[in-house]
Amino acid sequence: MKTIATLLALAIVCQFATAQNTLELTYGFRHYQRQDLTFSPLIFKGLAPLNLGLSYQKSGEKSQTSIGLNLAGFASRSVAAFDYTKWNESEPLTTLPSNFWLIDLGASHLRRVGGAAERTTWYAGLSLDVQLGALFYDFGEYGAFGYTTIASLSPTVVGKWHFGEKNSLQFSAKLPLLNWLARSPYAINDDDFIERQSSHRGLKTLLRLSADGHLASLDQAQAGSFSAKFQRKINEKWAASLGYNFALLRSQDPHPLTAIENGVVVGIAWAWSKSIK
Amino acid sequence: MKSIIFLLALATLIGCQKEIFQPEPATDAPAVFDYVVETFESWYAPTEERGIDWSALRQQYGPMLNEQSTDSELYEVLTAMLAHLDDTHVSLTAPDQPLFFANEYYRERKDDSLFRPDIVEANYLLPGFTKGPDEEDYAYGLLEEGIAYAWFGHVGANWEQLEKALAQPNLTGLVLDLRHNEGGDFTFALQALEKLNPSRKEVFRSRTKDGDGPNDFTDWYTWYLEGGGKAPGYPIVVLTDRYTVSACERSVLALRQLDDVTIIGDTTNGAISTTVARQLPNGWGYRIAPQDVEAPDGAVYEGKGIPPDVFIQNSMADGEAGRDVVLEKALELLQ
Repeated sequence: MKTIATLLALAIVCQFATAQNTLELTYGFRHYQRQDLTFSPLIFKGLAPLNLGLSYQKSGEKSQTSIGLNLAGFASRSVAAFDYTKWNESEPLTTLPSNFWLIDLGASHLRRVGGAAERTTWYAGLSLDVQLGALFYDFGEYGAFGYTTIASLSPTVVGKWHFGEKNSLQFSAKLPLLNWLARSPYAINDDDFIERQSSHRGLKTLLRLSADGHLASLDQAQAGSFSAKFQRKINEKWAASLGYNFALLRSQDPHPLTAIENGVVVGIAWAWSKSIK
Repeated sequence: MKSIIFLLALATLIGCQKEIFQPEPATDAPAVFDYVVETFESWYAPTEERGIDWSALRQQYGPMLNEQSTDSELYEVLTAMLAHLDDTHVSLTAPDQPLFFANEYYRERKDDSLFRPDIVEANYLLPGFTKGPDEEDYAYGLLEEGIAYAWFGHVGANWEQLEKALAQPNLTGLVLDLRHNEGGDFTFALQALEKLNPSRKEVFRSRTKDGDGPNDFTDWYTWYLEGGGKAPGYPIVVLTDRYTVSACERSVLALRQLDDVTIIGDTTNGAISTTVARQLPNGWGYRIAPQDVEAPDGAVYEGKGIPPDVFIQNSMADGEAGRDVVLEKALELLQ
């Protein structure tokens, strides 16, 4: 995995005689559906009031390389809120939504494989994506912490259509060949889990739990993503976009898990060109 | 044309997503009852320690429900069945119902008022004691010159206060009050106690369910108090009661490995496994205990509780008179 990351990083540095650089900030709605039988047989659904992404892309005549980061927090429910009483509370208590946090990190390196840059362009290559999921389930008086981390190496295809001078429509599809998967264990709080969270520091715990994963073949974990983006140039430097993102994750071990994401985001991109001699 | 095909493909992708999930289970009362029994059969670890026969319970309670049973009837049947476990780690959160604990002490608040922190503060602690921001959190100070006192209401970051409680000159004893300690994360307690422990000691071992079969467990995992600390050099008296539960009972197991520790009071609650919260098909919340725990000598206290070295209880009359005879006994032992 380290080798792949290094190669991708090198690819960012060592490419293009003339490069177009783009920095894009995205914000928008993201809907998350999650059914993890480790915690519940029900499907949790929630919108992310916070869904913020930042990406950098360097593209040239023959290739494009990008890195990105996205953070989303979802308030999710499987059933409507309800009240219950507790011996030491004078007023009824109300169940709260579960809070799911997803951190996505991604990098890709693609080569142009067809099309003319003026009209339609096709790229193909590899992407490395990591999603860290911290899941705070709320079941009324008590809750549970869960985690899911998936790192995927995916063949990636990107197609881009240009409509006139200013408009373009781009889609990309990723289908991982190799996944590294870490999930909450069979009974959630086993001794390894307890030991790994004993630093009592959130990020350190999440990284230790994530490291405790395994390579998952296609029959053990299925993932994939698709995105579409309409972009309109405002001027030579600035562009605005409207995008749709879809992602799917399925895994059977230790209990069936299915998670689906749908997002609609608006973005603002700043582009600049640089010649490298 | 390309755009139309693209939009149609997108609409199909969004429209068929529900089919990707597993069908959610039925939510009628018999279906939920069956789900509970099957889940406890596969997840609940201390079945044998608590003498539970799931087939017998299913036969006893299952016929009380049918597809027309109300939520209230389902709640009544489930709580009656789960009460057989008598386990504080088993609870049920249901709409418009009281939070249910399977353990009789927690459910009925039996002997709840035999421990009165207000009496300790008013009549035993010397002026200038420290109290945590939440009254269930911690309190520490001096009971008399040289005798430190620390009470923790749960096991968490509050145990970091133990070091401050012991930062008194010329201590000759410590009363560590763990009555009404509702548990939490025992690793906080281990880290606090390691500062009093010079050499590595096994404190307990545990194993966790990792499959549906009755014998599907992880390997035993041994927990230690790491060494490197400094033995206090004075006796410690630990106070326990029936509300000393879960992670705090594991803390008591760890304390028993330190030198010159005496446990007094009542037997602990007996819910030493860990607990996890999950959800039933009808959206109700419940907790279940998926671990077995053994002391270093192989003793199992699940369902029984850890007995004190000296059994002593407050009475209601003691409380009315402003006395805490358990604490007085601790002081007597430290004289």
